[in-house]
Amino acid sequence: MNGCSHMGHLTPALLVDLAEGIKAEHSVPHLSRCDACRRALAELRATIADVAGRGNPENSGSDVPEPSPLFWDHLSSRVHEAIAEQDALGRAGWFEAWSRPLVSLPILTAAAAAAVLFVVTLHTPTVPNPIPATSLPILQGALLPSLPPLEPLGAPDDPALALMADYGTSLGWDDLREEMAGVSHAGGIDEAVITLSTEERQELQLLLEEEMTQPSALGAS
Amino acid sequence: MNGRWIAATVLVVMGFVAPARAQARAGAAAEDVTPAELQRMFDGYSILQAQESLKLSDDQYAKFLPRFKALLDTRRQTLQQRTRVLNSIRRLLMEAQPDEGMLRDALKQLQEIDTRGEADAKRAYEGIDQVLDLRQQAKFRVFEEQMERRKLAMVTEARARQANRLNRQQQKP
Repeated sequence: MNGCSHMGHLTPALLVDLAEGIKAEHSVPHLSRCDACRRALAELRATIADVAGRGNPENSGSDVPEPSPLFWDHLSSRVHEAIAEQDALGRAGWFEAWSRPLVSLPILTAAAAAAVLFVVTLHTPTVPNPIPATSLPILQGALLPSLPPLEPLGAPDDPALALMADYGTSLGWDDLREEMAGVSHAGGIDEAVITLSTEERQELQLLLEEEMTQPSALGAS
Repeated sequence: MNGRWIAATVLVVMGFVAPARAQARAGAAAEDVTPAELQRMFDGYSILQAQESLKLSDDQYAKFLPRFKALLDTRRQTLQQRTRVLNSIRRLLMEAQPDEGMLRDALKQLQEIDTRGEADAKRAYEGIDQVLDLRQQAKFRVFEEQMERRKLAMVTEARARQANRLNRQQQKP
């Protein structure tokens, strides 16, 4: 990295170095090309000059008086006391918040319900429950006729190659993403879902709900 | 206790099924559903189908569930990170004079993401394999592939349904 930020402009650190004269201007060619960076450098120099001017008693209208030595002697003990006070308040506040019935009652109820559910389910005898076969037998690939066999990779008429060739000429990035949404790889479905319109997502939600609420979706084949 | 009931209970507790049921109850199909919600539903669907396909015992299922979820999360996280870096590379390439240093950094990041993603996925698979017997391990690999295809078929079906609906609406006088 050459001290330029993401947009190609100079970083604040480099600008400060230039303003303070640690780095020479001619060592940063970007400066001669970029109005924004030159302006930023000029402003920074003006600010530094202004601050330096205020620090000088001759230029400054108001001198800040030094606190008395007693102030520094007591500062440390005051800070310690304030922190200790805050800690004590914080601990008391935590306990009060958790011991309020509005908070503790639902938690205790939920814990009791979970315990009862656990005990009841543990004592429920196992009964084989015949479930009708699923209409979507996922271990039978033959029942997915909507998926055509893949073209051999690298074939001259591979549609994927034509798609990539169109990118940048007749296809924009978003179009390409949409076309590529059908790519089947681990996690590829996430990409496909992102490209769906609101209405298509609603349709997909309905489809998923149908699948998940079918008894077969919860049962053994 | 029946494994199906464990599956249903765990999925409800983990929040995979509840949003869908709540919406179905309210008849709120017209409400917008985000991609993240759909991905969550897909995860729930995969988990249910995995139990059925691999014929997991109750004991196996209890151990399998968090490990499978970890694999799904790992994959999704890697994909998200990868997409983010790819987008920044794309933005860089759109500039007249792309900063070579930044391009190099981005490529390095991409490689790190891939390496880390592969290592995380490998660890997640090892965790899953510890729970499954050899036959189930083999079935799981086939299951994953078919699950992806099945989900893709559902996405395609959703698109087709929406397209048909639009066609019908246009044909109405």
